[in-house]
This record gives sequence, C-alpha cells and structure tokens, in this order.
Amino acid sequence: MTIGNIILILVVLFGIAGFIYYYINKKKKEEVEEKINIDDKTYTLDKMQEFVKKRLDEITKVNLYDIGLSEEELKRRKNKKYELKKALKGCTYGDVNDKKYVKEIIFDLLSKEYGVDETNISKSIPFDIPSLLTAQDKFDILIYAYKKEFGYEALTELIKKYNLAVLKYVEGETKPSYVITEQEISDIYEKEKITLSFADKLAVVVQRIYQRYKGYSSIDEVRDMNIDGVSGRSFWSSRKLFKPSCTNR
Amino acid sequence: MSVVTFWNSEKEETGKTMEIIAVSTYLAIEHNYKILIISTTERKNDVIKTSFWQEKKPKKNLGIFGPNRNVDMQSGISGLVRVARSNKISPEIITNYAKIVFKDRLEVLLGKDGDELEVEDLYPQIINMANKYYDLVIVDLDDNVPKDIREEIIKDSDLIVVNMSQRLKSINNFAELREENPLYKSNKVLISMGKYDRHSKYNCKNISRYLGEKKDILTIPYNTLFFEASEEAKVPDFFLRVRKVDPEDRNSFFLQEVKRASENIIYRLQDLQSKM
Repeated sequence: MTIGNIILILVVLFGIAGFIYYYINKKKKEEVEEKINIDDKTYTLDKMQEFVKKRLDEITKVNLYDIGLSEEELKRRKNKKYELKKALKGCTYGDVNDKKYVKEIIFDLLSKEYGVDETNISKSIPFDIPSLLTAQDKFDILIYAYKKEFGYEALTELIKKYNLAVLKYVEGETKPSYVITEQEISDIYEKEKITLSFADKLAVVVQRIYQRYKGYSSIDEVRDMNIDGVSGRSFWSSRKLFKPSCTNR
Repeated sequence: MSVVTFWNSEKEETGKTMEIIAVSTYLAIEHNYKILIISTTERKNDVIKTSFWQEKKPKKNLGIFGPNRNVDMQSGISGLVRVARSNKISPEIITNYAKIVFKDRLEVLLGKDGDELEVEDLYPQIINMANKYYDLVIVDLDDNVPKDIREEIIKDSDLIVVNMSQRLKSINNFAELREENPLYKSNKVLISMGKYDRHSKYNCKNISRYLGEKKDILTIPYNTLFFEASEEAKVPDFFLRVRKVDPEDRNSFFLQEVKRASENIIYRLQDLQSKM
C-alpha cells in the first residue's frame, strides 16, 4: 500500500465522518420538538388543515421498528396504526363510522396539540360575530345543531320546519326552482339563536377541516343525511349556497 | 368472562385501588386468568399507573429516524372512546389500548387523559366488550362517574366488592345502604376493607357481628413495603419477592390476606356462576 493510497483512504474516511456530523447537526436543528409558532394566521382553517394533514402523515408513516418496542407492544401499535390507516381510506369512500373516527382524531389533535381554545377558535370561523359568518358557516352551524337533536334526519327537519321545499323565483332567473338561498339560511340562523359551547364550536371547525381534507366538500354532511341522494353540477352564473362554483340540490 | 366491580360507598380514602392492584397482581401470578383492570380514575391521579410503570421521558432520536414527536395514538380509555364513538369497538380491539403488566395475564386500561367529554357514558359498553375477551374484568369504579352510569355498571357486574374504612360512621352508612337497597344484601356483594388495621376495635370479626354479615369480610392490611412499591412502579417485583415469605415475616399477614381476598373473589364468582 502506497502513501498515496493511505492518504486517499483517510480523505474518504474524513469526508464520510464530516458528512455524518453535518447531517446529524442539521437534523438536530430542524426537528427538536417542533413548537407551533403562533401568529395571526395560526388558527385559520388552512393552517389547521395543514397541521392535521402533517400530523396524520407522521402517525401513519412512522416506522415502528425504529422506536424499540417490545414484541407485544409493537403488535398493538401496528394494529392501532392499521386501524387509523383503514379509517383514513374508508372515509374517502363515505363510510360514516370511519368519518366519525377520523373526526375524533382531528378533534384531539386540534384541542390537545395545536392549542385551539375558547379564545382563538373564532379566528377560524367567526362564531362570535354573526355578521361575519358566511352562508356556509351558518349552514354548518345549523346542520350541526340539528344533527345533535335529530341525527340523520337533521336536513329533513330543517326543510320541514322552515318550509323550504317550495318552488320559488330567484332573482335573475325566469323559471321557478327548488332552491335554498343564502338569505333563507341567514334568516333561519337568526331565528334559531343557537348558542354553542367550545366543544360544539370545535366540532363545527373539525367538520369543516374534515370535509376539505378527506370528505366531500360542501355536501359532506348533507350526503350523510337520510335523503334520496345528492346531485351536483358546475354553476358559474350565480352564487347560491355553500360554494360559488357548485350548486347543491 | 366475569366482571368484578370495586366500589366504595363513601367519599373517603378506603384503599380501594390499592386493593385492586394487590388482588389482581396476586391472581395474575398465582392463577391462569387473563385479567383486565379498567380504571375510571383520571390518569394523572391514578395509583395504578405509578404502581406498574415508571414515567418515561419521551425519547429523542436527533431527528435521524423520523420526527422527534409523539407518533403514538392515545391509549387507555381516551383512545378507546374514539373507537367506541365511531361504532368500531370489538372485543379484540380493547387489548390494543391496554397496557401490559404480565403478558397474557394482566393488562390495564388506564382512565381518561385530561378533560374529555362524555367518556363515562361509554364505560358500560367498554366493560361489556372487554368481558367477551378477558377471563376477568376488574373495574375500579370511581366517585367521579355519574350516578346513573355507576348504577348501570354495578347492576351489570357479576360481583361487587364494596370497600369501606374502619370508621364507625362508614360502617353505619353501609348498614343504612343495605337496608335501602336489597342488592347490597345479596350474594353478589362482598365487603372489603383496605388499609386494614387488625388491632383496631373495628376489626373484621366485630364488623361481621355488628352488620350481621355471614360472608367473609375481605381485608387488605396496610403494608409499608407494598405502599412503597406502588410509588416506585415495583408492585410486580414486590409480589414475586414476598411470594414464599416465612410465616414469621412481618409481610406474611399481608400476603395471607391478599390470598384470602383473591380466593374468596374467585370462589364467590364460581359459586354464583354454578347457581345461574
């Protein structure tokens, strides 16, 4: 072995050692118990959704063999992980039980890890200022309150109580149609005078995050109700309920 | 296949949880039963937790092997409640949320972790499911469980162990309770005393006579080593150590009484099952 070879080996070894040192240092700085930076946007729906997505990814993708668990403990953790994975998959097909399970987990993540509480929950949906609530917010609150009382008959009860299933003429259209307008939702919301506890508010927020992340968007809750069906089409000409780009029938 | 509920009729320290720990550890060591303890106490105040496991600091892996965050899903009642609420609970699932003391022998389902809402309503369902999987389900019924749920759990139990202290007031209150509710006079109920002092005037013989109780009154004497072990997560070690202790040893009375209590419970369960 020549001196040249020895020098080369040393250079390679030092290179590898330097790379490992740099890698560990970088990771150390990156990951030490991430704390949530609180600013104005922290408690918006987008940020919360981002957090939920990241946490669920972490929980479902963690390599349990790295944690150093006993055989039995590993088996149980695997089962729990599989259960969550199955629910995350099942809820996208509209399984109501899987949806409940995923929502329970989102609820816990937000209240226990993300620090959502009575003081900051209104940053996501302005529960305290009804004038700032959108038609979708109001509808979500209404359907939540009715669901608590009537279960999957909530929508039917709401329509029955306020006689919403009638033909009406809408501004800008020549033919009458069966439609529930923003104005009607606002009126019902005012009449109902719903008072929500923190848990209720968080449940509404959780539902909103769920429907954006895994559910069926604005029709997610409506779809679960005891109804004949939901049909939707793109609707650009006028803004009705829920979403400017979608009608809900 | 049987549910044994430990309950105290008074809002006082009767050593109920310590009795559960002693009896279940003894049964797990000496008998071939698959036992589950269900705790209804809030986790931060739970003696069961400190008796079997030491508080572990979360491991840090420098971020090399995945994120430095808790990636476990909640265990104990808190985790199981989510499954129950989404109608996915089955007897086999319960074991995933329990902590192991002795593999295939003794497991613990710890109580709720924090201020979760509406957890108590699901206790009867969880106990019922656990009963299908384990040979013996021991319920540590706490005072914070709402009265209607408490009564439902007591009604559904195969055996109720009522704990009381050696205070005259406590004994009188239990006597009144027996007069009011015939359930407490039935064969389903055993009377027990935790932190027992055999030198007291209110010893089990005198209490039996006073209450007119024909069944054996169970006692778990105060034992310094046992109470210390429960603080240091060394209860299993303690029982394995004192298992074959000399009859002259000061711990032998404790062990003798734990044995008597455990065997009484098993005998009573078998007796009740044979009469069914």
